[in-house]
Amino acid sequence: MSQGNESMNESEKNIGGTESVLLNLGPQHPSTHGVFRLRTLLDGEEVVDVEPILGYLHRGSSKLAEERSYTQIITLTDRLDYLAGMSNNLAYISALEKLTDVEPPERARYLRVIMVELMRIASHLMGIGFLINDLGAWITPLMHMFREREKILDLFEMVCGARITFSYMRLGGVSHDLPEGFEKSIAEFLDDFEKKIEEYENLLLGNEIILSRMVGVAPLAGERAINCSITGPNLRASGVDWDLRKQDPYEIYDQLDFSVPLGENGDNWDRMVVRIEEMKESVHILRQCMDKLPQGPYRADTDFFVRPPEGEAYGMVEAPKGELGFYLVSDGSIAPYRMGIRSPSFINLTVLRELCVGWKLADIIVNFGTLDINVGEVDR
Amino acid sequence: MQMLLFNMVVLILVTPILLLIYANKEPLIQYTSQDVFNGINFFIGLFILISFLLFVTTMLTYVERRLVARMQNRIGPNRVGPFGVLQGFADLIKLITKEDLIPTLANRNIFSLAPILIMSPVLLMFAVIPILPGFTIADLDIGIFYVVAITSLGSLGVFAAGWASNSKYSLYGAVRGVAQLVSYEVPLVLSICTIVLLSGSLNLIEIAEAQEIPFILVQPVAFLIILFSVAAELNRTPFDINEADSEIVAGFHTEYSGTKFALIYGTEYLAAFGWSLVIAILFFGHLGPGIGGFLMLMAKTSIILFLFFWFRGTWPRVRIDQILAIAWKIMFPLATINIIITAGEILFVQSIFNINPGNALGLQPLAIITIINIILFAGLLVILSFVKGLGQFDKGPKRYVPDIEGVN
Amino acid sequence: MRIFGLGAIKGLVVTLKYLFRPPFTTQYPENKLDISPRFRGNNFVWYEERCTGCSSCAKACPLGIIRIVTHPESHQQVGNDYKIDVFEIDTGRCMFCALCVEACPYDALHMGGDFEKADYVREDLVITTDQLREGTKKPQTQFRPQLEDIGYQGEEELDEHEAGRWSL
Repeated sequence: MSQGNESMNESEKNIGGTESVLLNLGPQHPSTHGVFRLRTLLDGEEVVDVEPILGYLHRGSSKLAEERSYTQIITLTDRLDYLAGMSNNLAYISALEKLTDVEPPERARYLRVIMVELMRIASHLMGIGFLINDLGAWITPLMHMFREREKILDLFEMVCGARITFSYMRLGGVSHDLPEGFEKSIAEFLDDFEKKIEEYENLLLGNEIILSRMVGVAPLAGERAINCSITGPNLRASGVDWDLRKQDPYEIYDQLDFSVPLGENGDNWDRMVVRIEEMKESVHILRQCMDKLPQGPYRADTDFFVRPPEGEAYGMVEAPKGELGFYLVSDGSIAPYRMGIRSPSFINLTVLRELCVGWKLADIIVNFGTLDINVGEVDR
Repeated sequence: MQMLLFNMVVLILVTPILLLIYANKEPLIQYTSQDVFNGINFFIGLFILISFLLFVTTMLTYVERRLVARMQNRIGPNRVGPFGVLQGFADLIKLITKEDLIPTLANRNIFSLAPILIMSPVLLMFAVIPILPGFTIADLDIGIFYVVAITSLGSLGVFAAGWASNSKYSLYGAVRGVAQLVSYEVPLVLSICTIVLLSGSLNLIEIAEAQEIPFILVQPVAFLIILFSVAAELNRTPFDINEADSEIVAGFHTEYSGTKFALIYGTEYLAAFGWSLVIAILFFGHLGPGIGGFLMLMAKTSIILFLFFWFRGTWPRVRIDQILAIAWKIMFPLATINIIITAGEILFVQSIFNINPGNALGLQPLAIITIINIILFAGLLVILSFVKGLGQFDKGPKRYVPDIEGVN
Repeated sequence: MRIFGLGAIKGLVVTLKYLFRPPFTTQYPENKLDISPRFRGNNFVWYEERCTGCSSCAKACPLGIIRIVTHPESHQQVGNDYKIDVFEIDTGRCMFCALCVEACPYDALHMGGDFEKADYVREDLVITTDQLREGTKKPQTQFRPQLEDIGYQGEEELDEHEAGRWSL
């Protein structure tokens, strides 16, 4: 199919006597959340067909992993979903720990959960912020959310010295213990953040324009979401109670008290509100973790160049965007024989066409925003 | 198509000038005793006016960026000059010295003509606006009619720009723009009619002088309708769909750069300033005398401008079908009912206070209308709260599925 | 019951409040944010006296950008302390993961705290041996708990005796 500088009357399907227009949203477009292309066929403003075209950010993470040692692969996982590096680290490490049978100490488990929940808040902030930006707000909500994310990144910088590419988790623990003053900083942040969530709700949830743009738009039935193997907040917005933290508790989630917010009919509104509710739950989890945090070692004694026994393992966590899984095959050497990644962003994209067809051009952008994908994770 | 457009353009550019010349058999500037420019000839006055407008335009870009930046916890432009006040001029110089790019397959003539087409109606609009007391280029008796007529020509420029760019984003922006501008003309004009009914004149100065009570209190509904219709005319949030950056990149001016872009971008702010002035004159009470009156008018204008900047800093935009629905299903009926009610009220007070038709309403009649209208306005808000899609939101799925083979 | 328009006005109030608050951002070149002592900057602190030339860092590097050449004559001597001819780090490709710092058994290589490094040519981004020898010795506490224990905040210069777990 041709594109570009040709006649704009090029017709794909003839609908009711009018000609449909092929419009390429992306790869360079303000709201495709990275280098991503949506080939859309439009009948006036109405969407006839949408086809996501991927691969602009492909870096071959799986292949690169085959020639790196198990510890070095941690640096690759940071770059999958670059808005949620800690969750990626944890997913990979949980696969590796299953492969090597290493038990991390109790304190390390708590530290991991603290970091992952902070990361979930940061990722959801970005998801909602960019979503409202896609709705057309002139980056004000986005900036307000960037501000809070910045504070979270400051916390990460205190702990592991980096703001985006953390490489924090290690086999059998984490790379650093908490620094001095972290407890105070995180308590201040959590107190402040609860007020800020209220402010976000004032700014966003009451607004008639946002309501009219999102309520009832692009609903996704729970059954359909399961059939398309949607995971994460998108699935829970459809009313399906599925959260790996509850269903298959890893780390210390079985000792924590939290609830899983659910939506009703899986429209854009529910997908946004579920994320806001999840941030509140994360704050709740973080408070419990900081209260219960045990003393002790933060890292088991493991080799830098670990040689796991032959075999395979699949580790998965509830990442901010959905179920993130790492599949590792070991042949006994210092590098994995094969590493497979189940990335939630990529699989959540399967419903994009279904959500968009029949709605307006402006709704494509919003539906795409509520799915909250990250192109780094889609293309890997 | 090209020839047709070109002819229309020429006709439209020439007509208002002829109109102006015809309407003013007397000297273009009406000198009065309180005229601060008394004795200065027409061209110097024109020069001062245009310099002032250009200055305001460049400053407004800075002011908006600065204000919205503070709403967003940012600092905003603060590098060029003290507090960055010269940022707009730096941007202007940068844009003017840029290479003038025209896409290969664009229609060169119309592509170059479109920015002028967009800019000139807005400049012409200032001819009747009394920026300084007693200083208008043309003190037309049909002032507000002229403003509405001349600014509605801007949609032609928008369409020409979008069509000539030969880009699908531009075309979408242009089509959206025309649909929106044409729709919002109707409630805008109808609401202005209520003001005209109240003041009994189409002349902007006479409308201002008729306001014993500022018309914003007398006609809150008309004020809101005009405010949002103007937001739609100016492509400002929440109605900026024809340059919706998150959907169609920059809409009708996606392909523009350099001086042409500067013209389009500047026009946006110039039009915002012009319409804010008109709203300030229509709704915010008397025009004062001398420099004090000028500053008062600017202060009133700033309030409206700040509202536009504030909306932009807070709200997202509305979808195209919702925009048209708001115009035709809510604003148009509201404006119509408002006219009928206002006319009834005027007849009522005229009969009570024995005012002859054609005479200005005094303070007490206006006060009675104000009280009635404010009560009606509160009732309207309550009624709107029950309307589905405005105050109430349906949670059920309402999905449109096209009946086409191969889809779904 | 919700009144139409109230929700939108609530949002406007939020932005209006922020209009009168000081900005959260800082004016960068004049004001810099404080960095944490563990910050992984884009320079390195290397103590030649502590380095034995064991190449642990080069082996740990996921990208293989550390180049170490030891002096052949020093290979003859007793002990395992080699004289180092070349120690280069190509920061043009470095991702500052600090695995090299973690791997260093002799506390010879540390992360630095700079974050302002830009060049026009890629080759200029290679930190040469001389630059490492003569650069400022302000190590960060990344993977150096002994520095945190003495309350070091990454601000003063440390000599080769203070930076390691044991003095030479």
